[in-house]
Amino acid sequence: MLISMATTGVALLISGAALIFNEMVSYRRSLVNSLTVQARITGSNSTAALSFNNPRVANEILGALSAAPNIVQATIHTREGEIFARYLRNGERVKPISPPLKNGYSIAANSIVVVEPIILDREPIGTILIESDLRELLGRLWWYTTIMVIVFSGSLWIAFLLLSRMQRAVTSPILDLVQVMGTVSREGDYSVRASAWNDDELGSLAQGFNEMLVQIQSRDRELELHRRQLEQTVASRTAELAEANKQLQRELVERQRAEEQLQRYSGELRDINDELKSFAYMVSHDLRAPLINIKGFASELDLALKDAIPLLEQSLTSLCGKEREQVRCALQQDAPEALGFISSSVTRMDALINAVLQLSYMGRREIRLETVSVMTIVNSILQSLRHQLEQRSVTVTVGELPEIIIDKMALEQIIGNLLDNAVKYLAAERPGRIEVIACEEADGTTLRISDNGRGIAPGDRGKMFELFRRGNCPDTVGEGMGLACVKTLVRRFGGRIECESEPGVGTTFSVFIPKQSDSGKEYQ
Amino acid sequence: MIKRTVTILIILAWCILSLPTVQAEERLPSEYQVKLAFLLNFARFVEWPKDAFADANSPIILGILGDDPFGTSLASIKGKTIHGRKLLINKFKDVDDIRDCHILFVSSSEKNHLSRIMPFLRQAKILTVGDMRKFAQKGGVINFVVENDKVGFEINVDAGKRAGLQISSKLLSLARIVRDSQ
Repeated sequence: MLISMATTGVALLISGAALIFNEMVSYRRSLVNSLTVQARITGSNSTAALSFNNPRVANEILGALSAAPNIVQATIHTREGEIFARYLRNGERVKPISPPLKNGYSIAANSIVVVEPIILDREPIGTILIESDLRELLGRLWWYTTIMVIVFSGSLWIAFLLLSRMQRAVTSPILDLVQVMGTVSREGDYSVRASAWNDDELGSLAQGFNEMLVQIQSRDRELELHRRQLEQTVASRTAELAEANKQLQRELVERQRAEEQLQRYSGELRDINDELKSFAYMVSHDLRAPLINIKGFASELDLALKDAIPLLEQSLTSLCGKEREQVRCALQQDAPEALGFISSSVTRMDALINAVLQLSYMGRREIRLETVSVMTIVNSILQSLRHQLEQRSVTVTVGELPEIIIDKMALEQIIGNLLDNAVKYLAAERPGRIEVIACEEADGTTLRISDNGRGIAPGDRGKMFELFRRGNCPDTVGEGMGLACVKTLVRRFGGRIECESEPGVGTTFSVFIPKQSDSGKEYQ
Repeated sequence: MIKRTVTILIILAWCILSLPTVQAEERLPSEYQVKLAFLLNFARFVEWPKDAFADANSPIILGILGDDPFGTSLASIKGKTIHGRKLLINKFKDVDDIRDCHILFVSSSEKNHLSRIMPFLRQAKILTVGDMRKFAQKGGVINFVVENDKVGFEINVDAGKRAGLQISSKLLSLARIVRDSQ
């Protein structure tokens, strides 16, 4: 209201002021114009008077200017600038006129002075000056201002009446709209509607607002629906996840339990293994003492028997011939024979126990990993077997052999045992042939030792790695420890040993040794 | 005593005023200088019929009949123009000498020959200006009159009409208007 009034007032004021200013400017211009015209007419009328030097007539002509009350004074000057004729308004005093008369007009605070040349036959013969006061201009200004003030206040009053009437028509729908908006934004209630008013801009505004509300409401509903669906989905997914998690946990617990059990078993196994090892050691060690005793006392008995025999010969004379023969036979043949059996059995037993000791030593020995040339080892073993090889005229072929990381002594044992076996079980009826080759693979090395020996019967293959098993042939020596030892060692390096054999054709042992890390991991 | 004082005052006043007046007399134009200037100005307030001039560029001719009273002053108007036409001066001894002429100044020396001159002048399309008594009444257009040491003039409107001249009302307003009177 205030803004409207202020706007109207300012607009009125500006337009009024502009009107007055324009009026004043144009009035002043027209005043100057009319003064100029008057000066020209009067000047033209006074050409004759001036050229025939008749100031009386000139004064008469100037006197006609009294019809214009705004003209204060008028003068006609000769070409030389002297005053030739003068007109003064009633009651005016003579005003000084500054000598250099310049054609044109000049406006002072309360007067306008117009100076025009008087021309006769294209020649200036003098000058006319007319001075007018601005009484009329000021009067007009006063009049316009008064009119404007009246119009201004009247317009403002009418504007005020119109505005207050129109405001009711305009603001009440807007206020209604504002109230509805407030309800919507405060309570989030999109179901309220603005009352649609007339079929004007405000009506369409309210309608648009209502449409917006409808859209928002439907969006809201949709959003709510989506939200609920999402919630359901999330809840079901969460439940599934929780279930899966629980199961996982259960499995984890089970696995842990299993692992614990495994560890326990493994520990138990290790304990048993250790026990076994120490048992084997203890057995072999402790068994040797009685063996030595048996052996010692057996030879003692033999000596004692030998010492006793001559004495017995003497005492035997008391016996009859048959009895004598029986005693002699028992003393000289049966007893020494039995003693010889005892001795040889003990020796064999000792060898067996030694082998077991060695095996258990092998199982307990600490492994020292180093880079070993397989070729060097094979060559040195073949060197040690040279006598036998020459004796049996065996052809040995050695392929390209790599360097591998392993415990040197263990590798010597493995290859030594296998070569020893190959030589030992060669067929007597054909010339022996032994081949050693190596096959490098991504995760380790396979050594292959082949011979064209007797081969192993399929029934024996399962037992050949067992302790104290020996090939079924009387012409070879050994304790049946070789392959058991090889298997133990290969296992310690995480490898495996395989055997292909055909009786009467030959045997091939393949030993796979995986790459050993330098950290010296030990396989049990 | 009073007489003497007045005499002294008059002498003093004459002494004071004499210097400027001498200077003023030197500057103020003589009677014939004024008349010569008037002659030219008459021409400026008068319009001749179209057939008075051969073409737009032909000069306007001022004739002087009889004795020339202007003397050296004539030189001062040489080269002047009137209505855009060059001004030429022609002097005639006798009325029979008069040929092409737009303004004719009839000198006072001719006042005894007027009866012979006027019949010719009445027929001619000439602005005649006389310098003698009764010239206008006898059929001249303009006649100089000197009253109270001031140069004035009479105009015979009938003579002007007869000569086909249009005389400006401004000029008429300054003149004494006369009519033919034989």
